[in-house]
Amino acid sequence: MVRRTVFLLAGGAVAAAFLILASALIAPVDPGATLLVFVVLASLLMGGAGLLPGVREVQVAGAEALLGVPEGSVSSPEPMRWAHRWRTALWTLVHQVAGALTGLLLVATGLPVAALAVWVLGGDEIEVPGWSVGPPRSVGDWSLAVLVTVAVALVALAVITALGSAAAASAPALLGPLGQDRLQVIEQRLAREQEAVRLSRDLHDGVGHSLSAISLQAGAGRRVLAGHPDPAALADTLRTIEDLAGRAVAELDHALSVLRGEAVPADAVRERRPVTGSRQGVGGADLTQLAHLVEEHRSRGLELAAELPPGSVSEQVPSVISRAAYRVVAEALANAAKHGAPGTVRVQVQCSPGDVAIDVVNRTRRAPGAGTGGRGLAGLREQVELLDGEMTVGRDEGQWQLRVSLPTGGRRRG
Amino acid sequence: MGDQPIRVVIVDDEPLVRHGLRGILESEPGITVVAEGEDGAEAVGLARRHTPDVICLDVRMPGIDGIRATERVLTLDPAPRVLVITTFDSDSYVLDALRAGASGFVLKRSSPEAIITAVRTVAAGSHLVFPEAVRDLARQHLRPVSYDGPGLTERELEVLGLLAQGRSNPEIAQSLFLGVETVRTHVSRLLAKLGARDRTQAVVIAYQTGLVPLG
Repeated sequence: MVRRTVFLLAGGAVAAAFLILASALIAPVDPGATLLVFVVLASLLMGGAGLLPGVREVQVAGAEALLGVPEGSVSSPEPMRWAHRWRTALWTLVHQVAGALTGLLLVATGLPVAALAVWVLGGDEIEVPGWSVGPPRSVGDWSLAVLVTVAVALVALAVITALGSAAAASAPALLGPLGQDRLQVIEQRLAREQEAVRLSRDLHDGVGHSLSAISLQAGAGRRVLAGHPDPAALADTLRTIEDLAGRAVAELDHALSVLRGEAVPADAVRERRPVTGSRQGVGGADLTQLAHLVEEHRSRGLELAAELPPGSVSEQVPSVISRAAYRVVAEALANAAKHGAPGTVRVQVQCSPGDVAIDVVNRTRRAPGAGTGGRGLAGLREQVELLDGEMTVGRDEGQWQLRVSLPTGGRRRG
Repeated sequence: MGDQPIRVVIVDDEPLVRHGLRGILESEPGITVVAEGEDGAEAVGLARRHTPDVICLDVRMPGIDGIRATERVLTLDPAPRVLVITTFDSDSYVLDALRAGASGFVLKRSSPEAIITAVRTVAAGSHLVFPEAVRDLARQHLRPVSYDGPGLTERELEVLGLLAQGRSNPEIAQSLFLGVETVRTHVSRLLAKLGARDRTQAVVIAYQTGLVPLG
């Protein structure tokens, strides 16, 4: 009751301000303006206040804290649509009208109490402009005065209580989530669940397969060593194991960063750089290893035209971005190798002071939108977006194109 | 098989897995890899063309997966034995593949020796590959059904129980004090009654119907 009254009175205070503003605006223009013009102008100002930024948030907070509406029944949607804005405006107007009424009722309650107090203390006539009331002279008059005072207070109490209840009851209609918002909430939840399923599948397909392949390759290597050791073949096997391990770490890195719900894995923030001379840094390969990745794909028979940044330039890219960029290229090339049609795959990676731009184009034999390649791409997109980058995938006329831009924040480390 | 090498076809969508598997199998005298394929659709053609003794099938592949590939490969005459290769031993697909008639399965992360043994075992057809793993899989993924085939004798049930433990015919013969020939007869009658094409499928059916308790 007290909280609701406070809420209403807050509206009344704002209403008083706007009523003064309205009369100040109207007086110099048209001193003889009718009440109707005044009411319309004041209503426009009072409702219009509801369109100001931040008002919705304040109203929602007020409704939750002071009106005591159930949790979740009012909300500040993101983004605000016009459907939300005009409801907020209407609510703000109603809030102020009800508040003004509450204020008047409290004043009306206070006046007889004050008069009684004056008379009890021995005061005489009370003069209000155009009206004067003398103190009660008889017991009957005193009773009447007290009765009127109590009656006014009770009526005011009843009306204010009713206003508070009405406000609490109507808040969800005007400040609550709309059907579309609820749909959005459900869709978000669904997306999160799908994300979890996708993540476990990614771990299965990615890390699981990489580690299995490592195990097989290592086993094969050991058998070769026991039989007829061929240093070249063994070096190849070790190189493959090295790459697979890097891939597995990168996949794990990605999965963990998604699981944490945070953009960037913790170790990446510390900006660890690969030790000079080692091809594989902590947390997976980065841009400095692109040339090797390209060579590897060439050796497996992929026709590749690559335009890569010189090592001195790619070393300057922050490691988080650098590794993400490497994974983008790795995924694109893996896709090209798996689903691409014969023909040259073009890879272009450019490092400018503000961003890293990646462009991969290959011929494809798949119908647009078909196939399973999307899972890896979805993971990629997520990672790119986590880093505030942009990614576009295009398919037309037998061409598949991936464009990714990763901002480096303009910071270059020396 | 005699002195003839075991002829193997490898089907997996991951080239590095095929490469590793080939490396392991080729390092073993008596095993030859005759062909590689990258999906289930290719598996059938390769099996028909090369008539291998064993076909190693990845259970999860794009397009036609290992289960359907198993079914199709087994309709060939002569049909190779199917060894399912898998990343995880909890994979429910593996059990489906075994029910479809695969003779055994092997984890990709197994040691080269275990993989070689699995290929040899499946080729010989005399053992169940990884009896404990099959039981665990059955416990996790099998929906029990009631057995409505021809009744089994006490002896046949005993033999089936030992089959489920992964025992070979001579081992069963020894523990039941029977001749190996007698055991062989029991086993073939069991397979016929259960409608199973080999020991592995018989054991899967036995678990599913509760003829052998999963305990």
